[in-house]
Amino acid sequence: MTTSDFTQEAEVFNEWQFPDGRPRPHYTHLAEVAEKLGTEGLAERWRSARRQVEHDAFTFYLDPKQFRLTPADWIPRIIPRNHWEAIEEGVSQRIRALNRFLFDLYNDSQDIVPPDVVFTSQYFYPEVQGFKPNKDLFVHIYGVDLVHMGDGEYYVLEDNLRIPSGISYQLKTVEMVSEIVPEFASGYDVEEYRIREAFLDMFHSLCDNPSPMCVLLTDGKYGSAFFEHRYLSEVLGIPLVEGTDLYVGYDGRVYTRTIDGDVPVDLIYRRVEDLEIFVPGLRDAYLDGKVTLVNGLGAGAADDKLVFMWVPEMIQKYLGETPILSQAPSYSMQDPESRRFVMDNLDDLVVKERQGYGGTGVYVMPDLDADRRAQVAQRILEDPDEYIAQETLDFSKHMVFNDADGVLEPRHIDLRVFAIQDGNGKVTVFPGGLTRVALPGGRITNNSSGGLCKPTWVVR
Amino acid sequence: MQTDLGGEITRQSLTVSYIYAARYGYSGTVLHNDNQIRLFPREGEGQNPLQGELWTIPSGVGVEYSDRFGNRVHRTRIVEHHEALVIATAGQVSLATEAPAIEDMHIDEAKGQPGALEYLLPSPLVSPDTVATLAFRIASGSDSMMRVVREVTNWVYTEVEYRRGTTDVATTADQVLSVMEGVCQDKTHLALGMLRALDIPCRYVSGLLTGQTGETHSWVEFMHPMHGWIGADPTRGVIGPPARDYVKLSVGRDYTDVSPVKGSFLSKGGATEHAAIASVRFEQVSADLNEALRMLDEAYVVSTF
Repeated sequence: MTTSDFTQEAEVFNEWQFPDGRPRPHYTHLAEVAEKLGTEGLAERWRSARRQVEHDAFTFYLDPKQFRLTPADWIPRIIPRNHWEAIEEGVSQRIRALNRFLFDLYNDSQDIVPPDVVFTSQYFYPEVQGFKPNKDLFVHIYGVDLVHMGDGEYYVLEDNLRIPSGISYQLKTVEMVSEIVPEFASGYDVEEYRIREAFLDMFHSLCDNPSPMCVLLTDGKYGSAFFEHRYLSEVLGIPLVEGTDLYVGYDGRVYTRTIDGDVPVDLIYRRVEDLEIFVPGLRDAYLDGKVTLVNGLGAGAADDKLVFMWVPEMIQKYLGETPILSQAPSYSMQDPESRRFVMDNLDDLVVKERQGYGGTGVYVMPDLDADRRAQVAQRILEDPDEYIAQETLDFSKHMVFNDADGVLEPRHIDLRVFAIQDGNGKVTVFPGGLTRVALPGGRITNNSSGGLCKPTWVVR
Repeated sequence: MQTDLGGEITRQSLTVSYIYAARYGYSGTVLHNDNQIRLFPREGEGQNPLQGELWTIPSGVGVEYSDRFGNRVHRTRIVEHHEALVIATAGQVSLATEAPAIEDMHIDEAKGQPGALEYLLPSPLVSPDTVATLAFRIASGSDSMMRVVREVTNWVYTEVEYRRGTTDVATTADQVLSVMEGVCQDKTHLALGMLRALDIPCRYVSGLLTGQTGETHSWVEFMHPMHGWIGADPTRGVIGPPARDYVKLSVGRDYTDVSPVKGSFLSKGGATEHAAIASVRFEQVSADLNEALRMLDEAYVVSTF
């Protein structure tokens, strides 16, 4: 097996191997299996995986007319147990601190983020002010994007609080690799977990009804994440409903239509943001305490990319702890001095739209041509409140099997880790996460921007 | 004492009442309507708001904060379904009657002032480079700040024809220069561009004209090292007017920072009409919502879609 030449990138941490090309200890077995299967063997497994992806409709939609098979690389990414322990603790800190912040924000007592920042966030909803959700929680399911700088040093790129998506991809890729290349796992003690019990316990902890009716609200089969909605409703054993399956009754409660009649709903795991479009009256039912929403309405105020800059302060203030995960140094453009600094150093920075998501509105300036850089600069000048800049991180790369050329080649990877917090304050961080691989020569990893998924293991 | 104006006037200040009302029409039901409203008079610089009220129909829920230019902003989110939106405000404000005495300075003293940078950089509708050649010609090498401000303001006042309907809210300073006509907003943008090209920090002011009923007004303020912000109105050809001439609502780099109502709505339909009216009267009593609504019948149409 050949590996493509990447000698010029020696300073970037390679998860798979030492700079001299020897596999790192926890990758030795994977490297041996890959070597033994050879190019043709791997290519054959990759082809069979593709058939299964098609068969299982493991897809995502770019728009209603265009769906794509989820592109994946089946060589697992391995996170050593000692790295994982720090990630787990760091992620737990963030979900707890963010929940406290959101509660204070909507109950008039936060003084961490300046009002002109948080009140201008698109997902800050004034109508939620004064509302106390069940158990004071706004964020029950949390997804956080991390990158590895090497030697166990992980940085947070962004928080996802409204509708964190991708946990089904985490589960599905791990599930599939054990069938496609069972040899990979044979040498490892992989950390196992179940999301079903954790999710259902969390749902129940938020409801007064001892046997609550929970449903998953989808935006429908043409939504970009429909695979995930279907998969999760099956795994969790809760009905998958569309907006038209729900209505708000005269008693103010939410009902779902079933073949056995209309059933009151206690909790909606909602995978849509604009509730009123899908279920008129749902917002008021929620604010009247007639139904629980997972995640709560208005949680998105804290995944605004400007608000992100204050998360370390939230951890210090609410938990009295030092943040375990680092954040990329970030610059607000609101202050003209820091805007000028950003303009003078623009070619080295990453620029993000405040309200962008899914890799849209992220500009890695060193990877763009001069015309594109000038366009971004112009947009910052036009609307400084809507952008932030961050230092460009040279985060880690991982080997990916390029079946077209029959080589292993290093590509940038990130990691989206999922956690839940239940009504008793218990936080569960699911081991591993969804590793996403950037396109060759790029650093943006989102599926919608053309990135690949990769199975991820935490290994003891 | 000028008692013929009907209001209570002292030598130092004048109390006026103001109204602003706007109506927005839509072709479909709006599910939510989320706006940043900048319609409260600023405090300071010869202006002292005494009271004020803001209404929306339907009513919404909101928060209040100051933006980075110190403007008071109401973010109001209306979640009641609607097919038309009214935003209205009324209140009273006391205005200084004395015009400021202005000392002249060397032009180089302007740009080094603390906080000046924000008002020298390009902004969405004002790119100083595109109007610099003309600015240098008009300034003709003068090193007197007041002379430069006067030349630029008067040039825009006399040379750019006041005309409605040929420009819109997105017209840039250099576009104004190529058509040589426009409304107060356009004249303000062009003057801002030229003054910035000459290193004089200056800002866009949105407000109302005292004693008039009709549209909102806009003008320039430049940053004076000794006196702070001084007005220069290229639509009326006035430099350093007394505070009593205007009710100052908000300031920013250009119109995009100060538009009275900025936001988004969610609907299957679109916007159909936007009409507005503004008035500042020499009255001791603040208007109520009914009066504001009555005035809307005379409102001018800002835009149709």
